[in-house]
Amino acid sequence: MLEAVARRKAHWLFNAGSEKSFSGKRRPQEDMVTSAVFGSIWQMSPEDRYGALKILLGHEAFEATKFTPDDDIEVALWPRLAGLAGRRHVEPDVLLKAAGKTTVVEVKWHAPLSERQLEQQVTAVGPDNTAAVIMLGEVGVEDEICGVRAFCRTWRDVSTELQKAQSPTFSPLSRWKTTMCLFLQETDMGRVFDGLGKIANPGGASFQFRKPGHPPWLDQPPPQEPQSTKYTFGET
Amino acid sequence: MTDAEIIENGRSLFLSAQNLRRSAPDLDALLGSLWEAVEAEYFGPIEDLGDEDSDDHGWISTGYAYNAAVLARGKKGKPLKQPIGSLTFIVRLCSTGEVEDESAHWPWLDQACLIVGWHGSDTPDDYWEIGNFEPTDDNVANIAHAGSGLWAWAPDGEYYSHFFAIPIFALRNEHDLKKYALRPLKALFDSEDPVAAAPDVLKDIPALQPPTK
Repeated sequence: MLEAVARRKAHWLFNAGSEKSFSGKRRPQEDMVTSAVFGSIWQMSPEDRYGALKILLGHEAFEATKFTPDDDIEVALWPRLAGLAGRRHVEPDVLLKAAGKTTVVEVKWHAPLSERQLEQQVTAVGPDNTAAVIMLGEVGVEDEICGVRAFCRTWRDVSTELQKAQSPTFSPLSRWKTTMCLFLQETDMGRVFDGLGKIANPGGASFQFRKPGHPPWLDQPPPQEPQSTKYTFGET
Repeated sequence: MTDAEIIENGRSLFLSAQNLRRSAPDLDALLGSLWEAVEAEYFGPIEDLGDEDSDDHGWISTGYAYNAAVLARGKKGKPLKQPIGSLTFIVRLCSTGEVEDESAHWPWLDQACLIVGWHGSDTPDDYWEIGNFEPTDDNVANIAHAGSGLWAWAPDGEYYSHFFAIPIFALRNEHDLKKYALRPLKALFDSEDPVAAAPDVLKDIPALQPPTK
């Protein structure tokens, strides 16, 4: 899916206004992103997985997870945990686990946070077992959830870091970073402003208009006097 | 209309629309990046005051405006609900209508630009609207150039609120957004006398000034 969006085959699914295509509780974009991003990381070698998660979660949050380069971090997608207080189960988007340390990751893509959603997840995992809570998306969170440090990271943050982290090597992790970077640039949530694209200029165009039995109407644009407008920037 | 003009006009309209369509994702990213940096780096927590879309023609939107209240901070840095001002970013692509007042010689009348406006602590509940930058009689009577690229709403000659405008193509990346829009905005917003501060703050900023003839 990352490639399909990155190469503009299915980018319309994640463009501006695409969230209006989905309503109510049916928000497949969020699940598709969670699956594509964390699913691809789960298939990496432990070493690359460590590197990819470090970029994805950000330096400060990743430090709080207490994961080390020696860890083989397990990526569990939508694990069903026993719920408390009348809830049958609680389903965090992602649990990252290694050597007895667990981090809760909640992914948001054009969706608000439900009431007490993170508190329920931390309670289900156990605050003592949870090293950090990370909100990936444009939703603010408190600094602590049930006594556990919480962090907020937007998709644009991830995109910015991926752009800085591009390297000329062709390792699997490097290829993932390139694909992720291109994917996020094709989405409304992750696109980093990089100037406006080249503007097509009507002046200087040449026309070929053929009609059976007739010569071209025009093969050169009519000469036009360029309009000059003066602007003043800053102090003169 | 000659055959050549028919083709030329059609192509011009086609390319204008295509340029608009192709610019849309970049303009979305521009505003998204602006607001994230406003909150994370420059003003801290803000309260969304809503957006405005000039979608009054059915075919095109000539501008988008986004507003937010800047919130006062408590002793421990926590945001209070009390607003101390408002911020407005407007991407203005062109006017919403034809020129009503020919005496307006504003530089944004033929230039796609980012308008950066604010209201201070004395009028924190007010904010700029897309219509304020249209060349109407009322706007022409009230908007004044305060010098150095700083403009103001000045009823009776007294400055009520301020803004500056940056040509949209002067903004080439996030660094430019911060350097040309957010840093000067923060400096002028915090200044007790924006007019006095403007020559220094806007010195190296491509803030649009009245066109020279």
